[in-house]
Amino acid sequence: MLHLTIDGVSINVPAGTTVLEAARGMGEYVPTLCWHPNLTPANACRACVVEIEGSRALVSSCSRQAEDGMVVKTKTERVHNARQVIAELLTSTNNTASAGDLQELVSHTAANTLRFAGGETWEQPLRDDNNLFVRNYDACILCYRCVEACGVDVQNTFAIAVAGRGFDAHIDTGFDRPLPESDCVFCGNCVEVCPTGALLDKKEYELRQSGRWEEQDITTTRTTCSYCGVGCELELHVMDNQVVKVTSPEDNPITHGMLCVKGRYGYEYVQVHEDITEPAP
Amino acid sequence: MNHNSEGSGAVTAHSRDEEGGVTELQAEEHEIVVGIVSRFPRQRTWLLPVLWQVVEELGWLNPDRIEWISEALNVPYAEIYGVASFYSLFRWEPSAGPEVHVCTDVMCTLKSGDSLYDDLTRASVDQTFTVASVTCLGRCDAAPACLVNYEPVENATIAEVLERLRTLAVEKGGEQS
Amino acid sequence: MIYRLFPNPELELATAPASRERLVERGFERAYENAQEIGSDTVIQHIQAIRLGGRGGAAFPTARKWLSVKNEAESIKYVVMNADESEPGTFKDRELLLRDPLGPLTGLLIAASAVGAQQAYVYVRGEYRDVEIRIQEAITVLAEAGWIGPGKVSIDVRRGAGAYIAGEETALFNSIEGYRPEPRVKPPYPTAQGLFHKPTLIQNVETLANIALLFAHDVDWFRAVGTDATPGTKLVALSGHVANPGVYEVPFGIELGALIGDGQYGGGTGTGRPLKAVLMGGAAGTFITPQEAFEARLDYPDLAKFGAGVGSGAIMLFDSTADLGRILTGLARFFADESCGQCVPCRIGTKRILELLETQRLWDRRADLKDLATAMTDASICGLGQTAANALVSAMNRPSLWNEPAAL
Repeated sequence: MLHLTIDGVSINVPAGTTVLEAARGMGEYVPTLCWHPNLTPANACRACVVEIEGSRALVSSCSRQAEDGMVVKTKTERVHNARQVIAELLTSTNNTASAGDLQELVSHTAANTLRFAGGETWEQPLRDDNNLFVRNYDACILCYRCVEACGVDVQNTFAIAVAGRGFDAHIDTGFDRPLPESDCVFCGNCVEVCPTGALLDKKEYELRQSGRWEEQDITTTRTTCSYCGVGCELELHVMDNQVVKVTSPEDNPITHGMLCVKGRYGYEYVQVHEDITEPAP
Repeated sequence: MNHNSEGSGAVTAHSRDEEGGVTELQAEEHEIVVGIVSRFPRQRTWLLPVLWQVVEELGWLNPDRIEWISEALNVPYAEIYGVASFYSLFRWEPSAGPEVHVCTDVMCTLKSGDSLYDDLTRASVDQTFTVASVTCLGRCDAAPACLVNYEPVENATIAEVLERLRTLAVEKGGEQS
Repeated sequence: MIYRLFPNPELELATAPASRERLVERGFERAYENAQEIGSDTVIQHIQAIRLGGRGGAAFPTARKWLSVKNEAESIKYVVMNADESEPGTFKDRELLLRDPLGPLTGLLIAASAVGAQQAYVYVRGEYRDVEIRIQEAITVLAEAGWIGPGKVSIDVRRGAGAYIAGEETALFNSIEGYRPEPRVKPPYPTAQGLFHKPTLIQNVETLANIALLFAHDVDWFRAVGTDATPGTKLVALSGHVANPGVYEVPFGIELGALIGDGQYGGGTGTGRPLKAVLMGGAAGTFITPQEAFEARLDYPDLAKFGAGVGSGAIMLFDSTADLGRILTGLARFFADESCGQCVPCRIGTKRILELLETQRLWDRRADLKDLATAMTDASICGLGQTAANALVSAMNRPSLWNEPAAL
C-alpha cells in the first residue's frame, strides 16, 4: 500500500492507483473531459490537473500514478484558475450544447463562457456521409477518445487520426475523405466514447433534430447479442416501442462498452412488422 | 472554419481516369513510391524519411501517394496524413517550379522579411515558383532569410532570390538535356 | 575573445570543419580515448565536477541524466543529439555544427559509451540542409577514424520537416518513431522510457560539445573560465537591432552590457538609435529594460534577479523604433503556429493571446490575460505552452518599455 496525503487527509491506496482514482475515491471533485475508464489517458483536456508538492507545473491526475509520500492538493487557487480557464477556452471554441461533462465543468468552476469568446471558433458543416452516424466536429474538443477507440485501445482499425496542428489540429480520415471511402468499419465505438455529442448515431441525430428525442421516455432493456457466439451484452434503448439506440454497459467485462457494427447498428430487423410469408428467393 | 486549411485538401491532385481506373501516370508514380519505400526497412520509424524522399522525387504529397506509402510501409492512411500534415515543409499542391519559404517571423520582419514575402508573392504570378511564409528559419543573424528549394539564402533580397531561381532553372534544364 | 567551443581562427583557417586534422588538432581524438580509458563512472564524476547543465535552455544537470540512463537495467538504450534548434533569436547550434561538427559528435559518442547505448541519433531540423550536410561529412570522418561502424555505435541522422515542437525531447522521440511530434506526458522521463520507450539520453548540441572539450582537457582547465556557479563558456546569439549580429562564445558571468555594446561582440544597436528593450533567452524568454541589461551578468543566479534566464543563449535587441506591440504579436503568432494542438490550454490559449494582441486589447484585457497566462503556465503539457506567455507577461510588467507614444 502507498501512503499519500490529499487535501490534508491521509489515505492508503494500492500501488498502481492513479492520483485521480485516489482523489475521487475519497470523494473529491476532480473533473475530466478526455479521460475514459476503458481508454489510455490522453492527457489532453487538462481539466483533471492538481497540485503535487515538488512539481513546478500542475499535474494531470488521470495519468499520474500515486507515489508513497505524495502530497496532493485538488482545491487550490491555481487548480481552480486552470480548470476555469480551460472551460472558458473550450466554450469560446466549440458548440457545447450536448457536451454534458463540459457543461458541468463550466458550472462547477463558475466559468464565464463569454470571457474568451469572439475569436475564431470550430464552427463547420455537419459531416453526414453515411447511414449510421454523423460527425458534428464543431462540438469536438479533441479529447482523442475516438482516435484511441478506433486504434490500439479497442478496434485496431485506424480509420481516423489527429491531423494538422495548433488550433487547426482536428480529427481526420486523411484528406477528409468521406467515412465510407475510409478504413472505417462502422463499429460505432468512437460514437460510444465521444463525450460531447460531436459523434452521434444517425437515428439519434435525426430524432433530436426533429425534436422527437425524449430522454425521459427511453427505457433500456438488457439482452444478449444474437449475431455470433461471443455473446456481447446489449442495452436496447427503446422509445415508443422502437429501438432507437444500442449500447453495451461500460463495465461489462467482455465488451467494456464496445461493440461491432452488427451489434450496435444491426437492430432494424427486430422492428420490421411485415410478416415474412415465404423464404427469400 | 475550414479544417483542411493547412493546404492539404489537394484532392484535385487525385487523377483517376474517366472510368476510375489507373492512369499511366499513376502507374509510373506508384512504381516510384513503392521503390522509395523498398529502400527502407519496413518499419514505422522510416515514415518521415520516406515522406521526405517522396516529396523530393515527386514534388508533393497527395492522396494516391499517401495510399501507396500506407500499403508499402504498412502504416494506416489516416495516420500518415496525420503525421505529414503536422509538418510545415511538405508540399500538397502540384506546382510548376521550386518553392521559396520566406521567414516572416519576428526577427526577419524587423529586417523587412514581410516585404520580401510580399514582393516575392507578387513576382510569383508568372507561376515559375511558389512562395510560402514560414516561422523562424534559425538565421536571425542574417535576416531576412528564406529557403529556395530548401537551400538557405541569408540576408536575402528579391534580386538574389530571383537569381537563385534562375540558376536552379538552368541547372534543371541542363539535367533534362 | 575566447575560443573553446569554437576553434581558434588559425585552426579554423588551417583545417576543414569535418576533417581528420580537425579531429586531432582539437583534441577530440584524445577526448574520445580518454573517456574510454577512465570508464563511465569517472566520466560522469568529471561532468558532475564541472557542474555542466544542459545548454538547450532548461539547464538540467547533465551528470544526473547520464547517471540515470547508465543505471537503467535495459539492454537497449539510445543517445540523441537534439539539433532541432530554433525559435526566433536562437541559432547557435547551427553555427557550432557548421564550424566544428566533430565536437558535438565526439560528445555524442562519449555519451553512448558512458551510458551503454549502441545506437545514436542526430535529429536536425529540415530547414538546416547546410548543417545536415556538414554533419554527414563529419560522420564520414568518424567512420574513417574507426569510431563508428559495424560492432560499434552507429549514428543515424534524422531530418525534421518544419515543426518547432519536435525539438521538445519527447516530441522528438515521436517524430523519429514515425508518429506526430506531440510531447508525451512526464513521468516517465526519457532517461527511463524515451526513444522507442527505451532509456534514452538526449542532449543539446552545445552540451555535447562541452563534453568533448572536457575530456580533451580536464576539469581544472574547464573550470578556469566562467563562474563558480556555472563554469565554462556559453554560445550566445545576438540578433535584431545590433551592429554585429551573430554567435559569440563568452565566459559565463560576462557583463551583458559588454556583450551588447562592445565592438568585439554586439557593438551596440548599429542603428544610431538607443536601445529600447532586450529579449533574453529566446521567444519564450524575458524582456528586460536597457537599465536591467546593463546591470546584469550572463549567469543563471544573476539573471534570475531580473526574472530572466540564459535560456538557449538568445539575446534579441530592439532599438527605439521597435514597436513592442508588433513584436509581441509576432511572438504570439509564432507560438500559435507552432503549438502542437494536443492540450487545451496551449491549443486555444496561444490562439486567444494572438487574437487579443492583433485586436490591440492587451491592456483592457489585462486581468483576463493574466489568468490565461497563469493557466497556460500551470496546466499545459510541455514547455511550449508553459512558457508561451513569458515574454508577453515580462513586457507588460515593465512599464518603462511602453513609454514610447507609438506603443499600444
